[in-house]
Amino acid sequence: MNRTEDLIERARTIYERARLLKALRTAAFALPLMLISFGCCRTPSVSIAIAGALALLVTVLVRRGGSPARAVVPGYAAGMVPFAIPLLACPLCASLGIAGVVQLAVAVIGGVASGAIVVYYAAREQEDRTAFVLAGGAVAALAGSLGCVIAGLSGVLAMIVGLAVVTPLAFRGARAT
Amino acid sequence: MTPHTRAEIQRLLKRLANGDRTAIVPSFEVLWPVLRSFSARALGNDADAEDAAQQALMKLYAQVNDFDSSRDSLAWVFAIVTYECRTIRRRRQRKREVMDQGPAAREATDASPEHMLIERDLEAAVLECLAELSGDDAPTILAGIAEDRPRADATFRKRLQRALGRLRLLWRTKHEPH
Repeated sequence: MNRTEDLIERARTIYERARLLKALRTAAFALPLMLISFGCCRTPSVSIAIAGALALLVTVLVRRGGSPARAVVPGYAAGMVPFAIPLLACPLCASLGIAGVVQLAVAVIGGVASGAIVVYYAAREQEDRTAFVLAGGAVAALAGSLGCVIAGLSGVLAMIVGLAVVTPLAFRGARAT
Repeated sequence: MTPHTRAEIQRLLKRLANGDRTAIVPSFEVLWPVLRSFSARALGNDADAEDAAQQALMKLYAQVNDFDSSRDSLAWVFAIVTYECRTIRRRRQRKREVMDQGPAAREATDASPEHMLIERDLEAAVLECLAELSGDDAPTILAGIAEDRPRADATFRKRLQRALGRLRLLWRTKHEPH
């Protein structure tokens, strides 16, 4: 191996290492979300599983790069809505003696808002918007699930349904305009 | 540097920041000559320039993931290589100070090829100054280094002190212009 090749190889190794570190740094945001989820929900094992999946997904996306990597931060931002709404609304509903359908409705609203945020960011993207929406939607769904888990598995499913319904519709609308 | 090269660097760094691995080799081919010539101009010494350029290149690839593509890439590249050149220059200055402090301090530093080269350059510069000293100054200093004369000899000690003072003055005039 000559000197130039050696330098390129060293540069490549350093670049890959830096990329992985950046991915791990971004994935670390799943930890505080998991801890908040622990404090509010009855099922820590579910929170751990969701946070683990979120961290893994974020690490893979950021390390890989491209449009899906750029979708991670907007995905986190979009996930904050379905994460925060149930955590605030569900204890209030419980204290008022309202449960069941209202909690599910709150989760669906969170999912819809989340989908709208992902599409808003995707509309600014120049290339590969589909990959952006898919990656951002997945990150938002997992981050939001950490909050919706307070309403149980049905809450998580309701949020995902809300997100999955609104995202393609809004995405199609954004592409048409 | 042509505007084309500048635009090329901007484009390649943006691709690297986005995680495009295919930009590694083309970016190296464009950046390496730029880093190399900049550090050569800044440091003068070829070996130091090579070191600074390599350090800057590695730092660049370690930080390019956080590069903001709305910023001027060339300014960013030059900021990194300037910092490396300054670090090397400071290290070189520290080594020169250690050399000035005498053989004990000199032994404390590692005898790497770079050290040996610096040592050789310094020795040559000192010999050049000694050759320019007038009268008995140079033989007095050499005898003092070789400890040919007893330390108790007060006349010799005074003569050595005066010769060293003149050598120091000459060194400052030649190598420390400000």
